[in-house]
Amino acid sequence: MLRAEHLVKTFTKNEKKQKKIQFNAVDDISIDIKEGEIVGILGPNGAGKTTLLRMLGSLMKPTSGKVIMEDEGVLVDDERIIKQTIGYLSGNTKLYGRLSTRELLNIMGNIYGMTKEEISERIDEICKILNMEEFIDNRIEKLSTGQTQRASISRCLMHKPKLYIFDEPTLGLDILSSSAIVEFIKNERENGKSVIYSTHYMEEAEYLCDRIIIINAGKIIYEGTVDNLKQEVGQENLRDAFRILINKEGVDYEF
Amino acid sequence: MNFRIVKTLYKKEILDVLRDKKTVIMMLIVPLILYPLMLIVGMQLMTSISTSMAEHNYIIAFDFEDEGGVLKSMFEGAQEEGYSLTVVEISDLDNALINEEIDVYVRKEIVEGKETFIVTYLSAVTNSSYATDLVIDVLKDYSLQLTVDIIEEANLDANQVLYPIDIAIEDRSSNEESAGSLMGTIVPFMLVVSLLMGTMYPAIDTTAGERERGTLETVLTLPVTNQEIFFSKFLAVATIGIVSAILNLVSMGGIGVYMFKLMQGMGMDGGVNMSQFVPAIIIGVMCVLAFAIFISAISMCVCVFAKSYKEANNYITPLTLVVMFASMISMIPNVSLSSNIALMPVANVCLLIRDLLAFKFEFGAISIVLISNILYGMLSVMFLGKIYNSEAILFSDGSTSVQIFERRSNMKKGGVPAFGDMWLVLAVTLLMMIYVGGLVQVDDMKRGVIATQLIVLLIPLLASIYTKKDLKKTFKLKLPKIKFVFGGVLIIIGAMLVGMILTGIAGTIFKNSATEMTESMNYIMGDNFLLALLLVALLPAICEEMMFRGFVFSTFSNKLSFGKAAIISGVIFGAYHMNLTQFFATSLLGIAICYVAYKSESLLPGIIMHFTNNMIATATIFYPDIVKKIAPVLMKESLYISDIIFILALGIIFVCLGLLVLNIGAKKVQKN
Repeated sequence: MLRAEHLVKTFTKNEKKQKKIQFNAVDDISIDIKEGEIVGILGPNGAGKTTLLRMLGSLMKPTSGKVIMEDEGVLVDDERIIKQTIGYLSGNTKLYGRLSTRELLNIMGNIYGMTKEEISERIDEICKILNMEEFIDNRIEKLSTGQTQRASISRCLMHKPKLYIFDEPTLGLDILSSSAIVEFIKNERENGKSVIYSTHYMEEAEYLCDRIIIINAGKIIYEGTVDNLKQEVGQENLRDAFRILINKEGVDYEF
Repeated sequence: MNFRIVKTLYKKEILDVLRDKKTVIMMLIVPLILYPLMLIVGMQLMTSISTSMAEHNYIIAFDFEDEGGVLKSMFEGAQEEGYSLTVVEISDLDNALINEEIDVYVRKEIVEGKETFIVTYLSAVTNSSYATDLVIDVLKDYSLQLTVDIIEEANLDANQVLYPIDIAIEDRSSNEESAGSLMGTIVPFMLVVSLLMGTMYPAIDTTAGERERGTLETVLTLPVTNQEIFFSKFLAVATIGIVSAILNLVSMGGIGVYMFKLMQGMGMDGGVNMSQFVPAIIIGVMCVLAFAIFISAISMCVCVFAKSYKEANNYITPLTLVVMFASMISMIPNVSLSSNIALMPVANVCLLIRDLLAFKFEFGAISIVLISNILYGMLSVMFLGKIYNSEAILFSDGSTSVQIFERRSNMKKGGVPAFGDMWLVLAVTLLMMIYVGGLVQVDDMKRGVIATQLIVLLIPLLASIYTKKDLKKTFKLKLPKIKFVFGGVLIIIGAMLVGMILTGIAGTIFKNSATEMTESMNYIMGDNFLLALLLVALLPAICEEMMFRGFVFSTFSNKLSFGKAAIISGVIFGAYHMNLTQFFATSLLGIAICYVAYKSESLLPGIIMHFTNNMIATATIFYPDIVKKIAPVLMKESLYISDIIFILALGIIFVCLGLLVLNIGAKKVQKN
């Protein structure tokens, strides 16, 4: 579905004594996402999760390495086509507060090249899936946090992507809203969609992910199933297993 | 660029900006409500003040004996238009004046044997100033009365003696022309300022505002390119700027019509036929549109660097001040649209509109203003496209192409200047040249030329030193092989010949600037050939080569292929000379020198080529007879097709010879 080969992203950082140093936020990471699987990207703050996801979603160009998408048997590395197949959602993808959700979806549909009929049909569908009838015509700045998050998700659904990239989609939401999102992700897998999913909530990851990738300082330190990791480290739950693994890397990680 | 996407994004920007309260206030409330309201309130205020002044009773005192009360009766009899004067007797006049018990007092002194009335008043007190005018009028009448008495005592006709001739005036300007010249002083300023105000908020909102609200990353998840994002934003800002300028104009027009009707109602003559302004309005609109593109791109350029709304506001304030200052030029009488001012951004549009409203249509000036505004607009849009690198803006990558604002200790040593820095240096140099160089030039031509050249040399040099660039590499400081000098000189002679034809063709189109060019050259040089050679041949050869083949071309050729780099820096070199007639020829020369600089990796052949070109041009002006003997075809007044073909062929032969010298040499080097 989506393959990343030897991705590297180099940033320049100002240190205390005003010296400029270069560091790799993502350091030679290769990933292969298969159809219909949920892959969790876990790691402490500053590990490079967001940078990695941005490169996977073609929002950011890698310093070296490349992202390839397999689209109906054809391999492509064209940014436009990759973006066309991906639904990307993160804490940084804010919505236009002065527009209504319906206006926003119309614009998105237009950019994805959908016809007017397709757009209005799709909006009705999404409206039902996410239960947005009561606020779809309100300005987004007037919506509650949960409603805003649903509007955000509706934006990603518009063009029926084959792959979702979710960067901490449940951050700051109450239990009801976040469990609705978790269920939504699970449903989409049933529909054959792939999901790349980053979170700090280990329970969510344990419940959802077919496979997890743990990164630290820009490098992959674990790749495999949750069960496998628990066995390797000898812990009952992912939370403890994760902490032990990270602490081994020399990071003082406490929950 | 996909235009469906640009259109969709454009619609979104417009919708988003229009729903912002600030834009609506700036666009609708200010022009449509605030302006008329201010005017009406202002007029009411003025009327009530002037009425109260006129209806006032002013108190006057004399510091002398008014024999027979002649003056007193003259003063108290002079009651017109509601005001009245009362003469009182007070002992301590200075105190009374300071305490405002009286408005004015009159003293009498003998100055040089003549009786002199001195009106003593307080200029800081409005009533006192107003009373002074009235008192002076009465005293003038008194003086006249005395004169008449003396003339009549001599049995002469006072009217004949005092006014042997009568003077009357007759205005042959049509009402349209007087109305136009009156509007011309204020309309350009209002138009430019309202255009700027109109673009300011959308410019901030779509750049820094979007960044602050975090919606840019959302757009980046869509299948769109950076170019599409920036271009749609630019279109939206320009549209809103233009619409708000139109609303401002409509509002001003409405006020104008209202005042006009008011004047007609008061019985004043003023039959203005609005249809006469149609051609002026059409040409004006074209120039204003080109200007709107320029001002939108410029304000966006400024805002792109800001991280927040607040920061963008701070960045745009200096721009507003500069533009407002420059647009006041139309209020200065006797500044005409010369071909130098026609190239000054902002000022040129203002003066053109003023001229158009006064029914002065000059094709040359109009085309220069139009073309230069389109050119500035295109350049600033290009610049905006270059700096609008979403990744750098959104994720603060650190690798921005503008390095000059970084902490100096963070700058990397070596290499050639960054792209953004180069554009910035070019823009600063151009502005400094126009404003500082231009100002010095007004004072003294020679010093102006030196100042301009020093600006061209020092700004890129200092910028390179400040950003710790490799000066040897940037400015190609290396001794070349001798073949490059010979080859270069041959090429430049060939390019000059071809350029002559280009200048000739351009000269017939833009007659205006062709004559001005020769005039200004004559003016600088005077009689001194050596000085002229130093000032217009050697100095520019060194300074301009450092800038264009050094700083600019090195930066371009670091990023682009040789062809693109040479053409772009050649065209910039042509545009820098700010003369439409010379533009094509100088661009060609620029490209030719780029080629030699590229081949030789040295600036020296270019300096010699540049000097050769300027020297020949200077010689044709100083010693036309000698040049005529050597190359008669160069000095012909008008050229036939056969001459043109001959010159072109000769030029091409020279260029080929030059290329041969360069390349034969190259082969020899390879063989060795």
